[in-house]
Amino acid sequence: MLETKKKMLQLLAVGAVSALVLSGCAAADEDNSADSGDTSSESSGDTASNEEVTIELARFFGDCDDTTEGVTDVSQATSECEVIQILTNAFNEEDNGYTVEKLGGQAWGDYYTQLGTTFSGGNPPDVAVMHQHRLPDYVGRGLLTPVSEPLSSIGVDWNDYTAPALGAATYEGEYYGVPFDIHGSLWHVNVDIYEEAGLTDADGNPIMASSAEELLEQCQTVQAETGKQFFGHDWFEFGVGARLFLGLVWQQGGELSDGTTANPDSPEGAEALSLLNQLASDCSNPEQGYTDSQASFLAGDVAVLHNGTWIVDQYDRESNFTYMATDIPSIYGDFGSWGDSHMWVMPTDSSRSAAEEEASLAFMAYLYENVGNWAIGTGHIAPRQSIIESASYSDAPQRDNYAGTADKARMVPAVPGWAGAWDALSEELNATWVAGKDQAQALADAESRMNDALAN
Amino acid sequence: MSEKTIFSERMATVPARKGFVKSLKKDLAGWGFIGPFMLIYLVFLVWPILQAIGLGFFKIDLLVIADRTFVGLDNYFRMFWGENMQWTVVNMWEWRLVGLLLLVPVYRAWRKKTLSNLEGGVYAALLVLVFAVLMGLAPGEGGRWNDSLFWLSFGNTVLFVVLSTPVIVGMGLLLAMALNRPGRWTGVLRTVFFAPYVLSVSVLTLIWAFLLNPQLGLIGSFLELIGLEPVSFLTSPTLAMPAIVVATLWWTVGFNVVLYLAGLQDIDKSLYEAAEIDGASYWQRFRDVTWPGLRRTTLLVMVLQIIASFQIFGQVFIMTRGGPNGATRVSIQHIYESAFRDFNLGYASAMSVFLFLVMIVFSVLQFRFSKDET
Repeated sequence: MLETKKKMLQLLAVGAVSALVLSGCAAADEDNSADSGDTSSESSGDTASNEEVTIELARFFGDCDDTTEGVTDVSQATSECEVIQILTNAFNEEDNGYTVEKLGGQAWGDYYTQLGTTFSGGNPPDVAVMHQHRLPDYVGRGLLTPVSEPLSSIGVDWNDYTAPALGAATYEGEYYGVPFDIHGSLWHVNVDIYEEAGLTDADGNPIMASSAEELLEQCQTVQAETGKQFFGHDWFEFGVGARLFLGLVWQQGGELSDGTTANPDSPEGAEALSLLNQLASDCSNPEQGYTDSQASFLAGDVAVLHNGTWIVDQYDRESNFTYMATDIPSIYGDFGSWGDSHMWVMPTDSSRSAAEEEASLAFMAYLYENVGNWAIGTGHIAPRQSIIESASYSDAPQRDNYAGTADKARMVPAVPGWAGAWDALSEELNATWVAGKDQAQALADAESRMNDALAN
Repeated sequence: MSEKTIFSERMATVPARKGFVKSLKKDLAGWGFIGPFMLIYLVFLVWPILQAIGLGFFKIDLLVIADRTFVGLDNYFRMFWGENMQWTVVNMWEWRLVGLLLLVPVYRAWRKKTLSNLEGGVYAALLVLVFAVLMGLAPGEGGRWNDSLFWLSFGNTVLFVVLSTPVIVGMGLLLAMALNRPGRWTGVLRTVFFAPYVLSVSVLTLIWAFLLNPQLGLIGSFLELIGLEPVSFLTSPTLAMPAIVVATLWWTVGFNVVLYLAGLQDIDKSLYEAAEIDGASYWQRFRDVTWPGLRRTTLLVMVLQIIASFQIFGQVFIMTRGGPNGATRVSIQHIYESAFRDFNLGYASAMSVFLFLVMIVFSVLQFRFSKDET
């Protein structure tokens, strides 16, 4: 009841704020209708051309209003949040008659819960960010508007997108989103530790392992020669282990899903899980989560950190050692590394006026134009060929070192219900290195739980 | 002549209705007082509960809420049944034995006539049905529950209730007794113990996740200081739940302290004086004066705590996300994920109804048996 009372108070507070916000929106809508002198959505768009049209943007990447208020120069950004917020500020500053209002700004963990409730409440945002693997859940229910034609007509060149990016935005032959990036797993390397262990080539570059045996040998060498931990990543918080698992399965020519079901319980899965458990027990500290593993790496105590593209620029700035971001090594021969894409989508909303739709498309086209700023400001891989080939992109730190990921990145399977299936996989894999669960049992349980999630 | 008088005189000519109007006037004030609360209660509590009961019979997609298909008891079938179900006498026999031992107090209460034949019979039948019959059912060789996570999370929730309720209630009582005295520091300490209660769950979890971090946290540093290895509480399948209990204790015990302090201050001081004159020890004064005097407060605190503990969610969701290996996955997390991640609103509602009924049963039993004791 104590929690109940707290929750009730919080709910009442949220309810009160929501009521105020909703009444504010309603009032704004009424004002627009009154000014236009016409209640039809079509004509309100035409007659309100002199009015500032306000659209709602739903996104994650966090909240950084305190550091970006009034800032419109994207080169000042130091994080994902700051890049997207400064880009939004700059769009609002332009004399285009459009204003973008941010809804929330949550961390990605809560974002989809809140996005889902906007649909069930019948009031979805005008533009929203979405991972490519979530697209089937929404498009399959008819909740997103195809944007192929309208965006082509205002300057979006779909042919400029790389194949993985365009594939991520495509559903049954239509484009449903503007890919903003490709992001994926990388190895972040402390080159000084590699050098101290004698694992660098003549040019001073770290030698990447090309087999599981070589990887474990490097681990022994680094730990014996330097006393430092060889490998680090988040072992239990955000499914980072499952990302590496997926990449290692792909490297062996295996697949995790055929598009409708999941099959982690395969020979490739068993081999990948075995290697991950050896890394956990012999070369790492499986008690480390996301924050701890980063702290150890930045303190110079870990040779290799497995994390994503989004953190490259931050590590490049903050590390006090020779830092290098590189592709996940091909341990089993083929290239294979987890990837996903952030994209901007337009939720279907029959109450959206023509003017609001026009503003939404204009904002999406603006974000398409700024793909390069996003990629350069964060470390994500640009999804457009012209950006990848630009001098400013290749001049950005470390980008050449993970060009392989840009070329060959594979997207996490886009299957309806994948979020629950992925959580199930992640929990079962984590249980092997954190709680000592039998690996064969974990894979069998993962398969049954994943398929339950996909079936329901 | 005022309208009121005319009205009264007219009413006097209708003697049969006089009592009704008088009663209405009398009741009007009462309704006026409880009306606003009742309105909120009906709209925000009773109506959602009725909605949830109804939704439990449908397959409803959170994202397309208008599309709903009546599925009868399918959601309940998914929760309670599985493939190749078999009844065995040995399934969970330890827990079932403990449950069946509850027949003893029921029998004693019936012998003492504190339970009627009907009530005693209903309790005995329910205990036999649940512990002797239903809990004997489980998937046999090669079988599995339709939703094994439902039972895992419910089991963890019951474990949390069993671990947290006596600790948080007991600590509340101890702290209240320690703080129930005049003194310069007492007021300050009361504030200190109550202060964490005003924090939101996200702040609580930030503080405790940091404290419990084996490398960066205070507890790990302390253990190192005394020559012990830092312990990773939140990744240990055996220590994660106790760690959540301790964090919850720190967060919510202040509320129980306040309730117990109020209860303690209601006990007549002359009873303590009489006990002291009779030479009663501290323990005897507690046993024969304090504890009986706190019966009603304890009943309230216990019921509130059991309900609160069944609703555990925020702490585990943020600190462990139900891990490691499902050791802290609780019912509300499963309900939340079914509704908001998997968009399965009907199934989530059915699970909510089950949890609601369990809480009702616990609360009714607590009230019923505590009333007998008093």
